[in-house]
Order: sequence, then C-alpha cells, then structure tokens
Amino acid sequence: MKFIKITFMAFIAIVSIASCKKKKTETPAPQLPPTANVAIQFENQVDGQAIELGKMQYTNAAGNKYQIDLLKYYITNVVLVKDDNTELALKNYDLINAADLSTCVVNALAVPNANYTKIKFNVGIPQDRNHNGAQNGDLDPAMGMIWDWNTGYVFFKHEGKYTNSANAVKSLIFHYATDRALTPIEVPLTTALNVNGVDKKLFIKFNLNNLYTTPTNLDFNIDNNHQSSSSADFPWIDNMKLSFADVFQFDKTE
Amino acid sequence: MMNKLIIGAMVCFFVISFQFGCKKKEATPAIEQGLTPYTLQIPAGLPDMQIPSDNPMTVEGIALGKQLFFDPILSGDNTMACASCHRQSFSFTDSNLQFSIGIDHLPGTRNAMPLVNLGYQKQFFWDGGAANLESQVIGPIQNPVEMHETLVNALAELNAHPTYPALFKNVFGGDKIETAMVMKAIAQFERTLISGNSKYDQVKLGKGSFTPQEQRGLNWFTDLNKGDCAHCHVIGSTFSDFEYRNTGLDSIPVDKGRGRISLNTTDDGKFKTPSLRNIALTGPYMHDGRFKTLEECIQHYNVGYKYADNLDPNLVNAKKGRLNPADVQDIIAFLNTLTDTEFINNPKFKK
Ligand code: HEC
Ligand code: HEC
Repeated sequence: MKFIKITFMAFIAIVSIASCKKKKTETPAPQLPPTANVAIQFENQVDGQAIELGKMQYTNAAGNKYQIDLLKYYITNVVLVKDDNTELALKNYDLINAADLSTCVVNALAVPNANYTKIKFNVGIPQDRNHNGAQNGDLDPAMGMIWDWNTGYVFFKHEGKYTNSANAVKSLIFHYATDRALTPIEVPLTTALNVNGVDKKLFIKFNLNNLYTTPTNLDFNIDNNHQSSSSADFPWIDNMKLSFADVFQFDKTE
Repeated sequence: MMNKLIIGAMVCFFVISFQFGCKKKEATPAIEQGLTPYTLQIPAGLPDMQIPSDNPMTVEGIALGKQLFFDPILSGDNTMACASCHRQSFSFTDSNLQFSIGIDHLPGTRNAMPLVNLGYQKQFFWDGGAANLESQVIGPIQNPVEMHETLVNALAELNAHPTYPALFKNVFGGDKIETAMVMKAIAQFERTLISGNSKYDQVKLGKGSFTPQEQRGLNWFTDLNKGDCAHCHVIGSTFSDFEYRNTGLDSIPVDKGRGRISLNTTDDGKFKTPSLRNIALTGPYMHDGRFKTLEECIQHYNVGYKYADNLDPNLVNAKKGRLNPADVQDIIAFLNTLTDTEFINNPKFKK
C-alpha cells in the first residue's frame, strides 16, 4: 500500500520536473536579457546621393542622366549567420519602398545574443509563395507588386525617366520578375553584429547604380524597358542577377 | 481505499499529461468560430472537388462571395459587376458578345469564359495565367478594359461600406477588409457553380436515353478516325483535360496564349482546352470568339485548321474532311445533350 503511494508520488514528481513549464529562477537584476531586437535598415541611394523621386539628378555608369519615379523591391527570408556558422532564419516578406523610409527596415525580433558575421536574404519571392495572390501583409495584391494576368510578384521595380542622346526625356521601366529572377544575396558584416541583449541596428547600403553594370554598363538609350514578360528579357534578368551582388553592401552597426 | 488511490493517481496523471501539452498549438482554427462549414453536393458521376486548405468553404463565406460577385462596387465607376459579363442564363458567359465591353466602353481581346465546375481546374483564363481561382479575382477588377478599378480604391470602398465590414469580419476575422478576403469569398461562391445534371448525365445514370442521332454524335466524338474530340475534351465528367494546345486557328498566332505565361515560344498559340458542358449556351466560341456556331467549330476541326508549327499532334495526324455533313449534325446533337437547364435556373446562383 505504502509502496504504491510512494511509487505514484515519485512518478508525479518526475513528470512535473519534465513538464515544460519554465522554472522561475531568480536572475540578478543587472544581467542583460538573452535576446535583443535588430532593425535591419536598407539605405537606398545612388552613388551616395539620396533617393528623391521625380528629379533628373542621377547619372549612371554609362553617363546617362536619369530620374527615379518609383523604386521598390522585396527582401525575403533574411538569415543572420553567427560566427560559428549557425543560422537564424526570419521567414520574412518585406517590401522596401525607397520613397518611404518607414518601409526600409526589416525587423528581426528576439535575436539570440551572439556575434553575427553575415546576412543572407533574397531579392524576390521564393517560388512556393510567388504564385498565389491571396496573401496578406506586404504580399497583399493591393501593394501593386503582383501581376494579375500571370500570377507572380514583381521582385524589383524601378520606373522613371532618362535623358536620351538627343536630349529628349524618355521613360524608363525596369520590372524584374519570374522565378528565374529570384536572387540570393550574401553580405559579409565586416564589423560583426554583436547582439548582447541591447537592441541593435544593422545598416545595409543599396546602391542603384551598381545594378546597371552587367555585362557592361547599361546605356539607357538602348536598355530602357525590361518587364520580364517575354523570353527576350531572360539575358537581362540573368545579368541583373549578377549585378545585384554588388548592389548591397555592409555599412555599419549601431 | 485501493480503488480510490488508483483513481486519484489516474486523475493526477491526467492533469500532468495535460500540463505536458503546454506548448501552444500553432494551429489556427480552419474557419472562424460560429460559421457553418459547407459541404459541396457533388452530383453522381462527377469526381470529388479538392478545396484548398487555406480557404475552407462556409455557408457565410459563400453568401459573401455571391454578394460581391453581383456587386458593382468592385468596378471603377460602380456600374459593372462580375455578373455583368458572367450571366447565369448563358452558363455564366457574356451573352453572345465576341468580346465583353468594360466600364470605359472598350472591348477586350478574349471571349468571356463560362464559370462551370471551376473547382476541377488548377489554372484560370484561356492561357491559364491565374495560378488559382482566388488569384483570378483581381484580374478583371484591375483590367482597364474590364472593371478598371484599383484594389486600393475597391478596398477603401468596401471598408467604408455600411454592411460589408461586419460581414467580412464574421467570415474571416480581422478588423480590416483585405484583398485576400475578397479573393477567397468570391472563389468560395464560384466553387459552388457545379453543373452535372444534363441529359448526358441522366443517360449515364440510366434515367433516360439518347436519340439515335445523339448516340451517333457521341460515337463520332470518341472515334479516333472521326471527331477524335475526346482526345482533349475527355469524355465523362469535366469534358476537358485542361491541357494547353494549339488547335491551328492561325498558322501564326495573333494571341500568344500559353506562350505569354510560360515565356516559352513553343507554347505560342496554345490555349486551355475548355470544358464542353453547356456548350450550346456559350457561343461565340474559341478564345477570341471567332466562331458563331458549333457547326463552325466542328468544321474547323474537320477541314479548317492550319498547320501551325506546334499544331497538336492529334490534328497533324488527322485526315481533313473525315466528317461528312451528317456527322457534323450528329456531333452537334450530342453536344446539345450537355446543356444543364437546372444549372442555369438554379435559384442558389441568382442575385
Ligand atoms: C468585362 C467583362 C468581364 C467582367 C466584368 C468579369 N469577367 Fe471574368 N472573364 C471575362 C473574360 C473575357 C474572360 C477570359 C479572359 C482571358 O482568358 O484572358 C474571363 C475569365 C474568367 C474566369 C476564368 C474561367 C476559366 O475557366 O479559366 C473566371 C473564374 C472569371 N472570369 C471570374 C470573374 C470574376 C470573379 C469577376 C469579378 C471580379 C469577373 N470574372 C469579371 C470577362 C469578364
Ligand atoms: C487537340 C485537342 C483538341 C481536340 C482534338 C478537339 N479540341 Fe475542341 N478545343 C481544344 C482547345 C485547346 C480549344 C480552345 C482553342 C482556342 O480557343 O484557341 C477548344 C475549343 C473548342 C470549342 C469552343 C469552346 C468554347 O468555350 O469556346 C468547342 C465547341 C470544341 N472545342 C469542340 C470540339 C469538338 C466537337 C471536337 C471534335 C470534333 C474537338 N473540339 C476536338 C482542344 C481540342
């Protein structure tokens, strides 16, 4: 009888210990929390010049004058890589609109304390999410980034104007899309991002002028309209994909 | 005493195992609380319909989708609804227009499609450009030659409406109407548009019989050396395998069709094989509505088709002129047995 009682009590004790309710251990007050939030800030610019819409004030590598009327792109599946090569994946789908600073940040919440030495992400929407319009947040079709005649998101848009060789102002339209265009990016953090319980900022530069450089510097007199809607644009897509590697650069952490 | 103890221990154990489950389950309820799940009534002879797991059907969701389908609020000047071009009496096509006219009085370039048994299809539009039924919904709303409205505007109007916000909240939760909710509600309604009670279906169930002419028509329809229609318009339930094919309407296609979607030039001039249910009601025919009558359609397959580079092999190998005028009439008689008058009069599909 007693034996049974004891067995049961022991059993109960073991099970309660194994139970997943966290034990409240007293932590000394000054110790910092084990995680912090990191705001990953995309600093959009053209060779150091800020983005201002509607101004014919930029010059590309080929020497063409141009302006930006719209500049938007998707940053998805951000991964922060620790110095021991383990990874923290965010599963995010963020639309960056260069004209609206509040959109130019990807928030990584509760990042475990560690030294992070690399950031990886995609420009574009991975295939499993690319062909469905009934999605929310930045993938909501009302964001104006999805094709409704051929279900799929436009990964990057630059619309604007350029001054042609005859000094006339002509339209410029670059829509980078289709599964082929999904562009994985890796940016080494030359100064490691040290997460230590205090919220941090990570600044990544986006330089639009580095995008129009492959295989040679794009002359807008010739290349001024690519919308990824025919196979004739495949070489352009492949070149953009290469260029994107140079578009993103580590700036600083704060 | 012993018994009590054991029971007590069991209760303890139960409580503890329950605690074990304290990791919160992520599973969001499949449907909002208080809604009535809806099970499609599939007529005998039609296969089961796969309902996407992220858009389970509810009585309330279908009712909301139906209201939206008939509501011109989704168009730029609030004059045109989905139902303006998809009319029940024509099996949800646009009367006998070759090209529908949008709110700006401009014609499109394709013939309006019937909305019948849509849940069996994977891709939508003549070229299959819409990757699912939900995604199709935003096409006509934004198309400048159709409803010509921005989604931002349409959502603002819905959110400011006296009754829609409560209806949406009831069906989908959330405090704001979002595009995905509009898409899902309309798709739910569209999946209920099931036709399976034509004369053909009744004959198959032993509740009627074909006339000799209709029976001959069915024979030619399946006969490889005659109509050979069933190769693509699979006989049975859906009357299509929904594959993309070039049927030789033009030797050089004016409309790239599937090629515009796959970006593969070998798909140029290919279009989705349409179902033939209610085909007598949906003229004019083909993606561009070029044929006014079924006779013209059949004569196209008999003698009219052009040898485009990627003409479907079945037509490459077919002999031109294999159908005589009587055979053509027989096939028409058979196609007429696919008309489902219950479907076009079903009060559930009316405004
Ligand atoms: C101005 C006329 C017009 C209006 C309004 C219209 N449609 Fe259509 N619909 C068409 C035409 C034309 C097509 C074929 C388009 C194509 O293939 O490019 C079509 C195709 C479709 C299809 C594809 C069917 C299939 O088998 O692939 C669906 C579904 C559909 N419409 C639903 C809707 C819904 C829902 C609305 C309202 C939001 C709507 N339509 C509004 C004319 C219209
Ligand atoms: C090689 C496959 C194939 C064969 C064989 C075929 N069809 Fe079709 N059918 C199609 C395709 C694809 C379309 C759409 C073509 C387009 O619009 O460009 C179509 C369209 C039609 C249409 C017009 C449908 C509408 O909604 O406008 C009718 C009617 C039709 N076929 C009847 C027949 C008959 C009858 C036969 C046999 C004599 C036949 N088809 C043989 C593939 C085929």
